[in-house]
Amino acid sequence: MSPFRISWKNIWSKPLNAALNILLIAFGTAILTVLLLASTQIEDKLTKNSKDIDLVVGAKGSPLQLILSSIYYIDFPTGNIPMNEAKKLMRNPFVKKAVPLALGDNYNGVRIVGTDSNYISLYGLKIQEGKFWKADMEATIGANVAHAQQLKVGDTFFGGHGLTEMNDQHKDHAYKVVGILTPQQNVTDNLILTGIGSVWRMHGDEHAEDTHDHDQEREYTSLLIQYRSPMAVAMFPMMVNQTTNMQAASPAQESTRLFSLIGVGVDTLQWFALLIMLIAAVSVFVNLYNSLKERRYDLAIMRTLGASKTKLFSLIILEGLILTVIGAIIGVAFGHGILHLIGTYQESSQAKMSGLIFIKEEFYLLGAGLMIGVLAAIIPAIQAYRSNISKILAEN
Amino acid sequence: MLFLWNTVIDYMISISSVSHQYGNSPALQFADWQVNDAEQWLLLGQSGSGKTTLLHILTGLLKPSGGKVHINNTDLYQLTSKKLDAFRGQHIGIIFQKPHLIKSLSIAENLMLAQRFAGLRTNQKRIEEVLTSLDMAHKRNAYPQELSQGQLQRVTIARAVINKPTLLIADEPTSSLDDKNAEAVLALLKQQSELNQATLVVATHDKRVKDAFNLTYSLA
Repeated sequence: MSPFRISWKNIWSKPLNAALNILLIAFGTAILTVLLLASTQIEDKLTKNSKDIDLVVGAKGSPLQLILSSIYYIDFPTGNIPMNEAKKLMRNPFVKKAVPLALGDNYNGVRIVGTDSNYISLYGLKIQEGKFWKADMEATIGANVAHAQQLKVGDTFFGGHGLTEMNDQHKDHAYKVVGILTPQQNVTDNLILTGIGSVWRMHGDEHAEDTHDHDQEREYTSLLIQYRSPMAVAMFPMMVNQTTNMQAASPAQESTRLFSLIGVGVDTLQWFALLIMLIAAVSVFVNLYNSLKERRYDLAIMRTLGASKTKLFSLIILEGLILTVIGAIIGVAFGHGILHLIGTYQESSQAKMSGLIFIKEEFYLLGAGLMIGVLAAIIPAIQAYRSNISKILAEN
Repeated sequence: MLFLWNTVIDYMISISSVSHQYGNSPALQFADWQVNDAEQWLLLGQSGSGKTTLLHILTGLLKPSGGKVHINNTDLYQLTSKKLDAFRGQHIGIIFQKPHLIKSLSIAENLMLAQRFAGLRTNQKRIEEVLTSLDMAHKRNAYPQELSQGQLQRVTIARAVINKPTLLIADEPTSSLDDKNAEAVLALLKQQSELNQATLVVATHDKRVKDAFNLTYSLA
């Protein structure tokens, strides 16, 4: 007859009360878990994907939109930029590495990204099978794409115009899968990479990439830029924004802006969840306090059987802990489940969230559960400790 | 000094100059009382005469305002709170007027609880033995709410004797029972105290009980 068993049996002698307390704690913890996991995963994705990119240059418009479309591939591009203008920037002394992007097509919702070989070194891409794209209409696909679209090396597919739907297929030109990337744990897992010439060709420019007759008409969607020196941080974006028809946007700044926008909602939900946790704590307290009134005689009997005051104190604390820890564990599990469900219904594969990722901060939630249990039980436990058994027994 | 010490160790219960006062009400004075090992005593007194107070003092539940209380050679109120609780669990079995068991636990678990709180190991054999002697073995897995009043009283007796206490104290064990059950409970108490070689003190104002005991301590 361990103290745990005594407390456990007492809790479940009133299953409805116990279930309500556990449910409240679980509900609060689940919301906190979802918030914690979602914000960690979003932040992680933002950092991983923009890790080595100092600046994005594209058509004028919303800088956030430019970042979202060129780094995270979750919004439409702001437009295109003339290739010749872009090439001038690429040769600027402040620029260490510049990667051109040409967007505009998709395959079953997976974005086809026209780029050059600098993209490979920028993201440190590795091949799992086959090779990187070289000639026009060759494509190297991300690991998730290969899995989700059932594509393997040697397969061919037609791209569709637009970024999300396959309404208008380019039936004249088929892409050929020449390689599959090893999982990179970043945005490239969900992309189809090809040469810029392929994208041009899809849009009616039949000439090879290295012929210069059509340079005046050719366009990029954006440029991903790595600076050569820290000095560039102050000078280069200003130069782009003031002296060209293009705009420069910093991923770091825009991510911070995005996070502060999301942050308001996250904060509100966080307070809501904390409020629920507080209500849960009060509910556990009321439950223990009320049951203590009913159990005064029980506890007095336990003292007559030899239980010390400390033992009664610990029994009550244990009851609080059992309720809140079970609630917290269920809440964390529930939070993971909810996030996974949200993930499966998310349309954008780039921002997909997973409920299968565990982070060490979740232990804080269990810790919070423990603390609430102790806090809610401490007053009833002190009362049990201080109770005058002779008086209670004489009253009955 | 040695003489005093000798008088103390010879008795199961020894109280001297014990008094207790609740708030401003007049103090209850208790006559000195010595009880030998394995004796069976009746503690008689009208309602309000201090029976329960004296029983609580004897069981270490209520520290008297004055006087000395020795149980089984131990000066009860010289013990620390924790040691006193452990002493009570191991040496004193208490039966209350209303049978009270922990509702969330089965009959066997209630007995295990008594073993556990007394600091002893769970002894299923002993539980079986006691329940059988009280004809309650078939109810070992039942819960208190499933038992009749008479059966509950038997289980509280079982719980009181489970740790083979040297002193068995019953507070008004028959007052809420009819003649037949009162007689049965009394017989059980006497039988169990003999079986476990425990000293028995039964506090009552129930006249039906008077003739069952030779030794009587009366409260005015």
